[in-house]
Amino acid sequence: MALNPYENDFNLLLDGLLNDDEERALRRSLIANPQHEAELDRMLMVDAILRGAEEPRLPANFSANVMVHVDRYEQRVQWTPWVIALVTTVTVSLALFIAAPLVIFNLGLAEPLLSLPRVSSLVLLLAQSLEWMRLATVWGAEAIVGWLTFITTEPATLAVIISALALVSIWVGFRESQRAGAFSAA
Amino acid sequence: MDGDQELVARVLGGDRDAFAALVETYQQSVFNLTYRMLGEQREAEDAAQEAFLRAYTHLASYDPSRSFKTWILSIASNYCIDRIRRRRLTWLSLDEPLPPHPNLNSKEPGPEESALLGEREAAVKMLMSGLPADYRAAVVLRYWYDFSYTEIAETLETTESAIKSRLFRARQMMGQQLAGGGAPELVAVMEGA
Repeated sequence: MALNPYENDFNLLLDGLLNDDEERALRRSLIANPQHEAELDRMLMVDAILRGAEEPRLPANFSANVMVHVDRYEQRVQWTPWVIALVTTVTVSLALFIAAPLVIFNLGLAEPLLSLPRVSSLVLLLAQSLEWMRLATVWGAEAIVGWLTFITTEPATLAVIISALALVSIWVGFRESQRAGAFSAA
Repeated sequence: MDGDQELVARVLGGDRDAFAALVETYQQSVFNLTYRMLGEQREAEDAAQEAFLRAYTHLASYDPSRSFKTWILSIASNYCIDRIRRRRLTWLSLDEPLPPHPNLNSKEPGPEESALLGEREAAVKMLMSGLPADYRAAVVLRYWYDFSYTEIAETLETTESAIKSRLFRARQMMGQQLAGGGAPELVAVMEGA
């Protein structure tokens, strides 16, 4: 909405864009209009309050915190293409892994395919690999369960592990605070 | 190429330290703007950090013919305007009159805040809190940055005529609030003035 002339003049006056003569002329014109004069006085008071406000104090380590956000963003950007590639590869592989046997069996291609020596040895190799993976998973799970059982039933071992974790945590915290301090100083 | 443009070019070339230098240069200006617009220290800090992060992620779209300060303040003010509008949407039903943000308009600031803020500061917060978000941005850029109408219009991506109108209406609204005189902060400042 466009301003009427007196509104425009008020803006110009408050923004220091009227010269003395123009200001005197504006003041004279307001004598006949006390409502506008009162409004200008209120605006001048607002103007004085706003101009008197001090600059807020910047929070401590502000720029260091901004750079932490920037670093996190950079890390996300670096990882994103790899994550997308990995997810795509896994999804396509899984789809093929499920779809291929269904198609082969539904079309009755299993027997003719297995009669080919290369295909049968490939299937055998795949079956063996799956079996090795199953054995490795079982072995890993048993090892973890055994380890957890050991540390939870041996208080001394548990105490050593917790102490080691606490020391590592303190060391990491110390390194981070040194890094933040060095950045602020820079 | 001036200093800022050179730093921007270095950031685009992968120099992270050049961005740190830009943050150092404009951190006070950006924080000042977000604080004046949002009125609360913690929220202003978050908004200022977000503004810098947005600047970093959109640096490729920065037009070097434009002042970097205007550009970063434009990002910060637009972000604050969105934030104030979202804040209103969260708190209001459409039929209710607009209540002020509690942090901005609390008539009884907490002890910590009272210690930090003088009466004048509280009065500024109170006056600003009654303004719509886009009026607030225009007032902040005019009073705390001494921007011309053209610079404010460029920063807020609007016309000079719109800025003049916003400034006048904002001053009018604040004047009426002052005339109402209900708030102790305003009364104290008026008596002291």
